[in-house]
Amino acid sequence: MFSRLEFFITETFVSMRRHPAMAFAATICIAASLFVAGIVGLIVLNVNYATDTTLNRVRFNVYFQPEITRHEAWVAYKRILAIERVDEAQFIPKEKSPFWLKYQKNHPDTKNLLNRNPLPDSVVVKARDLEDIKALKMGMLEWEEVRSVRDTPDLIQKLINFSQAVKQSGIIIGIILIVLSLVIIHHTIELTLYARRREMFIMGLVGATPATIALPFLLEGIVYGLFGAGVALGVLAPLYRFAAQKITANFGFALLTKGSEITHGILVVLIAGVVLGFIGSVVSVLKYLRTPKSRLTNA
Amino acid sequence: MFHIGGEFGYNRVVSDQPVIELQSVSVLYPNGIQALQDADLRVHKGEFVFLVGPSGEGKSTILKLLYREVKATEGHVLVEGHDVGRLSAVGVARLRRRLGVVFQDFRLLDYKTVRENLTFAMQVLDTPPQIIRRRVNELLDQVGLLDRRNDFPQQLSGGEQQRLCIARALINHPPILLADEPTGNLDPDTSEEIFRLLEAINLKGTTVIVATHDNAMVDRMLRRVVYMCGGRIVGDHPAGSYYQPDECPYDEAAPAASGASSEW
Repeated sequence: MFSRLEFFITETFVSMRRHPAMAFAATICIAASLFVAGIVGLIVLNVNYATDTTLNRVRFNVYFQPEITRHEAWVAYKRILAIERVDEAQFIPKEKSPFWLKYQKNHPDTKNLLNRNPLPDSVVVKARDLEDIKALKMGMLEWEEVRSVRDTPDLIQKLINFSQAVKQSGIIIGIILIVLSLVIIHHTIELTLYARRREMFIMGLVGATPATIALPFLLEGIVYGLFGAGVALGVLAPLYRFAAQKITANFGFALLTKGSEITHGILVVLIAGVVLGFIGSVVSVLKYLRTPKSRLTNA
Repeated sequence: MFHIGGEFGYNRVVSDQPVIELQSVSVLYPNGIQALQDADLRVHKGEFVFLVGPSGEGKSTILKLLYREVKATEGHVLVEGHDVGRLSAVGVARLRRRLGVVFQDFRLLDYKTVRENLTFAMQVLDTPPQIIRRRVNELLDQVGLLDRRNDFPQQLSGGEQQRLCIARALINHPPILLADEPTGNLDPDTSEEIFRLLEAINLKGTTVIVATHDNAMVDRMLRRVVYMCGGRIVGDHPAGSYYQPDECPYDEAAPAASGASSEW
């Protein structure tokens, strides 16, 4: 089995060397598809990254009734901390309220007027999930100790909607690209099959099973996929690095350039190349093998 | 068991066991052409059979039926007792390991040397390298191409290319060899050389079926001759007698079957 696999791998590269134009067309076609898919993927990744980074900073303030005692406020704060959907909570005594501190800074003559601080104690809450914010707020508003809950709801909702729209568009564009790539790869590999019809004919003639006949072409598809992915990554990576530097320099915000998302992205492009090449070959080979005339005449 | 004679001065012992049997076989191609009609044929182990007749009369269709490139629309085709029409894809592959097929146009890989053409066909079947080496040398010696083993097919003459094609057909030690117009592209001297080679292979016990137009060779070799026309078997002359071309009672049907040949 190993010697046969070795033979087929050798034959794959011999075939690619014999039909360089075909090999080039197949590789470029896969590379172009993956390059466009890579750009879409990077846009989606960066939008998600930006949205998540922004939304990660989103917290809401829970203001207690001014008439409750510090102890009652502290107990309510502990209740908030105990809620499973709350990630973080910070108790802000009214004397440490940013508004009060700012007011005091701007009006130094009021430093001794602590007793006249009209603000209530409050808690800054960060939800585990952004989608929990609304439910948490609604729940807390029903507590007797709570007077109001404040945040910037429109911005959060807009960001969530935008992020979801980008994700959905990315998925749709991705599906369209995959279908297009498969069609192009299928036709390209059909051409390579046509160029190698005599080998297929001889294999069938001497008693090779359909699986054996298909194997070198599947290997060829996988190699085209890997090469195509390599070319796409080779072009995409420096372009992206250049774009990231320019955007950071001109607009002041950083694009995603490190981390597991990028590593996963590279793996996804490589795997996508292999899978696209493999599926394209399978479809072409099956179609070819089911056509006896093309398999055996004019070979 | 019975004996048959030949011009080359020997008698062959042929088993009475049929290795090939066509039972009321008809082939209707998808384009509506009736390539074969109600054909019955029994070929015994070790026989040498010529299929003769005008072009497009069903000779090649019979060979294609045997290596299951074409399926019978009616009747049964049996090879070594197996109904080839009922074989799975893997079954067809196994069947083809029991058959050698030779073509008029050789169908060699022109980018591989003589040796590599044979090696390729054996590597595909996962034959161990030491067996490939031994068998390739054995075959090249048998067909007289050992000295040309490192040449490419385009450096060979037509006869040498056909000998290479025959060597490839023999790689699996097939008990049956099918040859479709093996001398169609060759001059008379080279044709005789090829027929002598086929005779020699037959002498070793291989059943040989040859579709040919070469009536002169057919007449000289005194082998069994099956005459076809209009997609029907109209004559079956036993070995040992001089062959007289039959009259075709289906002359008007010939053009249609001819169309089938060019199509397929």
